[in-house]
Amino acid sequence: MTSVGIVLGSTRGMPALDVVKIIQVLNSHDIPAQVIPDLRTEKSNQELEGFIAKNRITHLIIGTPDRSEVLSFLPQRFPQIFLTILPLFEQPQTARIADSESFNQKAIHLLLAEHAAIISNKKLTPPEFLPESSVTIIGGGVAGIEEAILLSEFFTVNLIERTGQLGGNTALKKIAYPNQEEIAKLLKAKLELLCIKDNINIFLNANILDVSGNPGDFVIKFSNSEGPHEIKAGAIIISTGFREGQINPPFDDQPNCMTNEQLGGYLLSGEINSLVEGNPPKRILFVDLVYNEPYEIQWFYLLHQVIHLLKMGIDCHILTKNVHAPYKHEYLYREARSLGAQIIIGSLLDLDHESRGPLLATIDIDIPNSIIRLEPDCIVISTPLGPIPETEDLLKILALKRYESSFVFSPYSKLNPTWTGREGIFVGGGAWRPMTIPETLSHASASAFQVYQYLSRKLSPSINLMARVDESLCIGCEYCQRVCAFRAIEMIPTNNSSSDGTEKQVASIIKSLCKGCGNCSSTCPTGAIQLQNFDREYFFRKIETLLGLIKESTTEGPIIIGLTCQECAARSLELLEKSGIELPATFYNLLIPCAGRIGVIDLLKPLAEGADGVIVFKCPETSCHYFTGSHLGRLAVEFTQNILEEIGFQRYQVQACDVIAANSNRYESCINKMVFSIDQSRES
Amino acid sequence: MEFDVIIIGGGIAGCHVAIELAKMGKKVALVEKNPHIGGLVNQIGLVYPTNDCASCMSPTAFHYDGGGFRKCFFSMNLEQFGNIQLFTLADLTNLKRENSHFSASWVQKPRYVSQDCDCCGLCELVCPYETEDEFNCSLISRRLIYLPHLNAVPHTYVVDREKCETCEGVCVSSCPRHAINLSEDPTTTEVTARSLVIATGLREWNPSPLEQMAYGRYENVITQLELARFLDPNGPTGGLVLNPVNDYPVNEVLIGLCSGSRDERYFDYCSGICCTYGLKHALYLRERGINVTICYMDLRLEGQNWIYYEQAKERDVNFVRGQIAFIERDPGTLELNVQLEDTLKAELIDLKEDVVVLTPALIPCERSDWFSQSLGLTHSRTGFFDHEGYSRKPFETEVPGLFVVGSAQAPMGLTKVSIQVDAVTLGILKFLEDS
Repeated sequence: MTSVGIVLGSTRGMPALDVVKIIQVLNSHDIPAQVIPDLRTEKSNQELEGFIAKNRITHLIIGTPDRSEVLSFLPQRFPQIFLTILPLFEQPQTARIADSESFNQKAIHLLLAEHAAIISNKKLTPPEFLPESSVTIIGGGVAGIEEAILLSEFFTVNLIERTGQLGGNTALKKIAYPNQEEIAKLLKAKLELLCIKDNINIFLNANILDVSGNPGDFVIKFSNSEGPHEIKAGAIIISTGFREGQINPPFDDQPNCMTNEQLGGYLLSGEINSLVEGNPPKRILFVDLVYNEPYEIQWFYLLHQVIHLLKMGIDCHILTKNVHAPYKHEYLYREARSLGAQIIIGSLLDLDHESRGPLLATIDIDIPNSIIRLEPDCIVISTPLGPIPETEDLLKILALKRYESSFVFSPYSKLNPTWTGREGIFVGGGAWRPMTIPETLSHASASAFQVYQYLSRKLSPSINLMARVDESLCIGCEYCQRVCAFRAIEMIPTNNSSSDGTEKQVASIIKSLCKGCGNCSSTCPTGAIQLQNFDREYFFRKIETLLGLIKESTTEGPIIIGLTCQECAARSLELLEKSGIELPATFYNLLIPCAGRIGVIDLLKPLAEGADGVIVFKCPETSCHYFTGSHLGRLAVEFTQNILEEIGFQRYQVQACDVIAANSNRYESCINKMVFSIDQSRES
Repeated sequence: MEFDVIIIGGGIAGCHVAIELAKMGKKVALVEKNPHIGGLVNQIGLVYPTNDCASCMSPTAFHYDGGGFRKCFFSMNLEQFGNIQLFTLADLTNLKRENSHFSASWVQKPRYVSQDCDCCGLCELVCPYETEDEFNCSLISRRLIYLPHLNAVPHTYVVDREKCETCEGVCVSSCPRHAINLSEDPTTTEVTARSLVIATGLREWNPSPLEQMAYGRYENVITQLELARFLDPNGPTGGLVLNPVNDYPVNEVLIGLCSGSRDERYFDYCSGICCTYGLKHALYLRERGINVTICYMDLRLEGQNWIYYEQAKERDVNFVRGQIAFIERDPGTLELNVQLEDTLKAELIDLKEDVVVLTPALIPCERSDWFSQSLGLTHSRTGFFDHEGYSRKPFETEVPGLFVVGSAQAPMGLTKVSIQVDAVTLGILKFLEDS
């Protein structure tokens, strides 16, 4: 049994009241916690020993500003204890007037979340979810099979397949070319594994009708030959895979025009030898229509086919704008070239087919006024790869976004390319983008890991920031529901109908989903939704005390209030501190949860209290940690700018600035720009 | 010492795997040869496909815990995880697999600066010697006691002791916290673990053997990594691109792709990712108002990354399909006279450029041969640790318990690294459970 204890080391720089509060909050969550200052002394060590023995602690979290102090002796002294040391209370110097309240809130939350993460993740079998926890995998291709095998170790797995056969593209011999023997072996081994696991339920010929419920507790309705079914799922993985596109005009009515996949079929079955009036073709032209969305897998098959055909003595021409053969595929390209493949850089102008004669292709090559004519027996077309058509309906049911290329969208494509943007739903394999089989297996494993991590977590009591609704003020306008990227707001009907007799609905927060960004509170027209611990009153009080203190101080210069998003922008400020760049003495910073928390009224408040300028420092809109926050922040700033002149201020007094951690100089230049424009307007 | 997993290489892939495993309660030893972790991504600054900071880490488990967490690589200090032990400046001396356990030993060079250092920088001011700054690709110089870079983790100064024999230790007396001790000795560490991860990454080839490219002969012929240091807002020039010859702002830049790669005399494979970052750099140069010509053989941008080509076309980047024939510097104006062979139109093009950026081939780390010898791990003909065929996942190797992650396996961008990190973590967890 793991038991976690929390010890606060030196508490200097913290008001005494806060310390008491932190200990109270921790104790109320059944976490033993104690303050033991100056851990170096023998007396404190005995106290620590007593604390560990009394609470039978196996894992100790120490919050202390002096990491090195603790590291130098504690591990030796308590070798049986698992230690985590958090560098707490290191407050950035720029927050010159101590923002200790929100900072300590954060510290508590950090301690709690760490605690929860350790408890839940230490055990490999998830403790709470296991009995009823199950994963639903949609699509039984090679990715779906891999995910099912991996996750069946921990959960019950339901595998839903649209067709009557598992294996997807890989099982179709055509696309398994050129290594079909090895692939067949691989697939056979995987399917055998799938069969011996008794906690995998496979539903074939199934059609998904509806998905409802909340993350962690989805209800999936589908029908198959046995009738409608309803299953529960803690998490969903979409692995519906991809397929080759159709042949479009002008190629569709031509004889001997085919796709790469169809050619693969002819090659494997040997029909290629009787393709042209009972004879093998003499010359084949490969036309690449999708040079502007090149995928490794497409060129991989194309080059293999070309090599195969050249070895059979058939002439091959490849017409493209760009040869996509990254990394080791270069070897294939080189081999094809050395066997005599002709690469033509250009585009197809015209295609003629005289009756029963060969095709006549007119090709425009990139040199001005140069045209080539070719007479191939056969044309092979690289058509766009896309998700299977049924994916579109599925994504509508799940309310997920798509890329322009209609593959499943992943908002963190750099860091977490298996997440779909909706909690509890992941994408694995070719449904995200076409991939070769080894890559598909990697991506499937990655999504399995994400599901594993997601389901084995215990929801931590989020005491930090959370939205709450004052039902008497809510008018049911649904604005908050629209801006919440986490779908944490649902509209529920109330018993009290409004004055005109129509039924009234009010917003309600799903607590397990709320991330505390505050985007809803800045959008609410009546102020019914507020962010607990960061509500309007709190923010106003903060501004009033801050500006009150500034007025007492003697520093001269324009007073600028920075509202800094606690994500990337705050990191950028810390970086500035490290690099020793001096910010203007009259710049004061306040950390905010997200730029989306700041509404028009929050921007006007500092100005009304006597500040000369307000700057909102936010993350770039594409990398907002709460997806919509940065955009909402910009809208609020733009709206405020438009009304400022009418109420007696200047347009430049409210600004927004996008900063990322790697570009801290922007932070400084933005402040200096504002100081400059304020100074200039004062002179004039 | 005994660990669950040893990770060799503290680049983004190695650190990421270490954090994921630590969250799962595994004890991890992270071994890095440099004084700081982070590897290449620190030097690159902004990365594709999101054009943001490379130091963002995957939020995974924390992402669902109620918000309020930054997922920044440097904020999530690896030191704060009790079960990751970090060994910087480590030089591996022995590595083998015996009785289904891996044993490794390394000599750890001393930092000469203890954790009491608060990076005030006084020692740096009094240090009398200067040397080339490797982190900034030798574009500027640094003192012998130095902070490797602004964001360095561990955030402590370090002494380049090999070069500072004659000084009498002025830094020691200057330190207000008495953190410097120049008489520290190297320590040898021996560890065993059930699983081993190779995350040694890749490096840029030095293109000086390419005579016609004149790298090393003229200072204003630079590589992509050096350009990245110029473009980094926190870099030595603060994001300005200056001509290394005379420090004047640059107006004309030629980016030559495929320097040494796809060339039978040097590296016959395609490095895979350099077209994408070459175009990304071209776009950053255009943002600064610099005229850019790109000389390419083929553009290997996977899937969605083709948008970089379309954006570059929109912003008037000049594309020439061909290769650099020769580069010569005008002794008077110090401009570079470049001749390109246009392979499409079969003609020669003469250009005058301020700076030429070469895109050298990407090659495995120096010691990959040593790794394969001591562990019985085969590498493919490219020298990277990848394998042919479908029977294994890309990160799995023929040695049980041994995994290869990130660019040690093949040159790859951060998206692929993220996929592999998740996949490898699950692989290791399963392996540790089964064995």
